[in-house]
Amino acid sequence: MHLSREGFKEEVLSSYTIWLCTCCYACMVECPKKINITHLMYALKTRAIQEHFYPKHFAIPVLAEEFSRMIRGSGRITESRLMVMVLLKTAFWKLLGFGHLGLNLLRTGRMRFEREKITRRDEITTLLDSVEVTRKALAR
Amino acid sequence: MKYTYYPGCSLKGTGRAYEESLLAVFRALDVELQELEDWNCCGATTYMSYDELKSYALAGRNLAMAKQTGNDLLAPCAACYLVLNKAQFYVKEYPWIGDVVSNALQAIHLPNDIQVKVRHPLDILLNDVGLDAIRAHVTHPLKGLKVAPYYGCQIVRPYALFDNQRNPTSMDRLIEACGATCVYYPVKTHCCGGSQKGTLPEVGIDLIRRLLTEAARNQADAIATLCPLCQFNLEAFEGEAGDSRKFNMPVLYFTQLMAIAFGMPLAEAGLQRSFVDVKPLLAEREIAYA
Repeated sequence: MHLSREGFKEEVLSSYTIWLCTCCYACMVECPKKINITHLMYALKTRAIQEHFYPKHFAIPVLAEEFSRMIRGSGRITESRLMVMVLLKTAFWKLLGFGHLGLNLLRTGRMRFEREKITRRDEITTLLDSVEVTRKALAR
Repeated sequence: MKYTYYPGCSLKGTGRAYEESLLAVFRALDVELQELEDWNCCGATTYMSYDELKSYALAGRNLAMAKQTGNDLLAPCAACYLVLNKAQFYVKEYPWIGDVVSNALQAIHLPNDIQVKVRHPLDILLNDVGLDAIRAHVTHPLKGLKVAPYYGCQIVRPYALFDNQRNPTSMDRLIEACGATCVYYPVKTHCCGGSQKGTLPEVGIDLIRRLLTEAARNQADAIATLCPLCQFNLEAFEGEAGDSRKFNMPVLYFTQLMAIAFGMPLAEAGLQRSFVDVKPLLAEREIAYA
């Protein structure tokens, strides 16, 4: 917290701590000064992703990227496809280790590869583009 | 009683059993659910760390459409519940964020009112339906079954007001109304790691192991969950998390426990989708099921 305030940008953005945050909000509920730590962590993650402060083949930014691409394209997430895409792009050799889990999911009908999508997908692109337009207008 | 139902992506995928059991139980209790037409993904924690403003707009589309239905919005998934509530909070608290979301909604011809009441099934079951009505539906009490009630993070923190943030008890009371016993489970609001088992596996597995170990130490027969990602994490990695001790515990949605107690056929409540079969456990505890 102090480092961010004092402008140690590189130290903060390349710190592992921001990736360890799972957004469980425990800190926020407990903080006697009511500091919204979870939200700060979100902001730091966003900055680190935008400015590429992460190790090579790091899964979290890849997940964020694939996740947002899927929403833009379909409006919804198809979990099985997302999991496979992220693994392929980060550690494809680990896919083998997921054989057992994959079989269990298939056996119980919880793995679906058919893409989940909404009907009015154009609304999602319009919506997201509009945010970009307003953001640029505000920045000016 | 009628609510607009927002399933979210997980309940159509790995968390199908949650949707199946939820719909069955609500139908039995005469609560009408109408699925929100053409709903989109809430964005979850992942989109929030990618682009916060866009995540509020994504949530806003669902909320604005739900507001038009005139009913409260039911969100069973913990991540959806939190994101929808959070979007409402930030739009109200920061007028400039409200403007960004309003502009986006206007672009897709939706009204900008997104303040519809977002509710979790636990809240509805306890406060609208009531424990007495639930008890009246119990035909196959879960007598002798010891359950660890696991809430996880995002239902009780930080926006939910229907239960205590440090020691929630609404699910405990519901499970006990079905005849089962809740064991001491001090980690009930600890985090399961969310997507960390996928992104930072060595960190994720440790969080999962703690939750399973604590349930086993307190002699739980099963764990009850209310979030599709918690359920998946706890169930799918029981093998990997077990080192000296072997975990072989059914991890069920609280709605599935209710369905068993209501005497519904197991397949109607998605119980065939569990990795650990619940039938041997029910037989061992001499609990009758349909």
